[in-house]
Amino acid sequence: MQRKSYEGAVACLPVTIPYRRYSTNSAQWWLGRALHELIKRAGLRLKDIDGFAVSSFTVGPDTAVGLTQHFGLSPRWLDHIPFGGASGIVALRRAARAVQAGDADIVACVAGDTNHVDSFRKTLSTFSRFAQDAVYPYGSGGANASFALITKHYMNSYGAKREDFAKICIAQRDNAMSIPHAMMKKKLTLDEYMSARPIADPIHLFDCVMPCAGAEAFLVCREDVAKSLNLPSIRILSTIERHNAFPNDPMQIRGGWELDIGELWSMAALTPKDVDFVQTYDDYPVISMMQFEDLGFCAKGAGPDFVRSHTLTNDGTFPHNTSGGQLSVGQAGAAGGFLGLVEAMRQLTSQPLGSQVPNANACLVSGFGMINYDRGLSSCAAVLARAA
Amino acid sequence: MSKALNDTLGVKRAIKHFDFSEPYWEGTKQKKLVIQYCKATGKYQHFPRPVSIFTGRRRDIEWREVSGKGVVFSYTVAQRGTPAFRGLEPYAVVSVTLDVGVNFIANIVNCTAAELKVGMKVKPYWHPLDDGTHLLMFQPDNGPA
Repeated sequence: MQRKSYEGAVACLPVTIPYRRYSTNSAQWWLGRALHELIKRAGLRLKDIDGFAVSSFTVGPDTAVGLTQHFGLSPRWLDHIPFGGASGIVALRRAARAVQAGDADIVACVAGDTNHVDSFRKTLSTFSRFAQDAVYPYGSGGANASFALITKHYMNSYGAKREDFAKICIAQRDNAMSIPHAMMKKKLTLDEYMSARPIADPIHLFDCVMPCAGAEAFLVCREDVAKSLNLPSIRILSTIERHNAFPNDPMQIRGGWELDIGELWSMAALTPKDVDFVQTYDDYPVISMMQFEDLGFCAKGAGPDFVRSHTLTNDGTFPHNTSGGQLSVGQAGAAGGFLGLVEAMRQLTSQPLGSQVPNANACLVSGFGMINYDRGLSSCAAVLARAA
Repeated sequence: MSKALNDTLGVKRAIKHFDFSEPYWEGTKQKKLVIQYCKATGKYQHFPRPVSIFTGRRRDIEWREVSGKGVVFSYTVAQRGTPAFRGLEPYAVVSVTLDVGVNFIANIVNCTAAELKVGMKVKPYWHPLDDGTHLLMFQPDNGPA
């Protein structure tokens, strides 16, 4: 069956609550601030928000239902999307369908987490039931060790070198230089990258995101509603979502995108050459390199060559993670799954926080989440375009 | 790079067991590695799951003892461990392809950083825990096959 287009539903009003390294505030506080910012800037009343989608790791034991009471919302459409790095695109595609169907008129999509001094460790230990049995006893519960195993396997398989990952990280740092709330805003040199202290070989310091507190949010509504609110909006050309793809791969060397990539581009009626910038999910640079392959920008295994033959800064041949990504801005928990999407909305409406990608008319945003054992389980992507 | 690797044997481990992984832990009491096997498809799976991941059925699962021998598929040397492992860095985490074809993540002992390589042969090392179970680790397998 032909999938229905997202015609008529748009995303608008990208909101970022500036990140902080640590926060004594709760996740509820961060999410509430993001919701408030949406309402204030849209000129809406609370009761106009009739749909609410929320993503957070540290909001427990609250669920989306509990949050409606905290925030004074009475939505008729509600979703809780605890999918980590896949949260943003999953929220977008669900909310767009709800709006198209008339189940909701204005959906607030909000993601955020706090970062107490010990909250990152708590999040890790509750990621999955299996993790505790199968990995924790070996000092390998964190994403660092899982991604070190994945990175080593990828390097052995396809000849990627640390210098290739450096190029991704350094370009993102360049892109982050003008982002006010970026956690890391000091220029990164190849020397600094290469000589950084090892965390879990071959992962070194600048391959890792900095956990922090923050929130990201946007609205999904009908195009006419966005117009009546005077909010510049973006169109959703296509989306894909997949969980636990390729369970028989001995270790992750591709993501679920590979299963659905044909559909993503055909539904969008575009090819990889037609997009003006790309936001990948970058909790580690190896996964961005895999996304270049699995999303169709180069052949499988050609990621290292692709990186060597492109410039990845906003003024380059392949503008990538245009606000600096999580590797420079920081990872505010589940908000990391919104970061690329919110930045893409800014680029496509010519309201960048940092530098503007020239002729930014179409883009691809991808998400990836929920690292367990030796792979990330969730993958998703969206092709987005400037409003006509 | 012939640096010594720490063995992590001194880490206090409180391991939570789930109902569907109990036969695994029972086996370790006798230093036996038993892992899940799907009778319907003839395939092994690790780590323990509530059902066969090949058919979705619980009744297709049986537990089979395997040798625990294998080869290193990928590895990392942790320089900043998870909280319980702080101070023991560097220690190695390896993913081993068991001779029945599934990967198993664990620590490796009796091995230097220089020896540790993708493709190296390993065999089980059973580390006793307070509750009578053993934690499977690996060690280099230099003996005859």
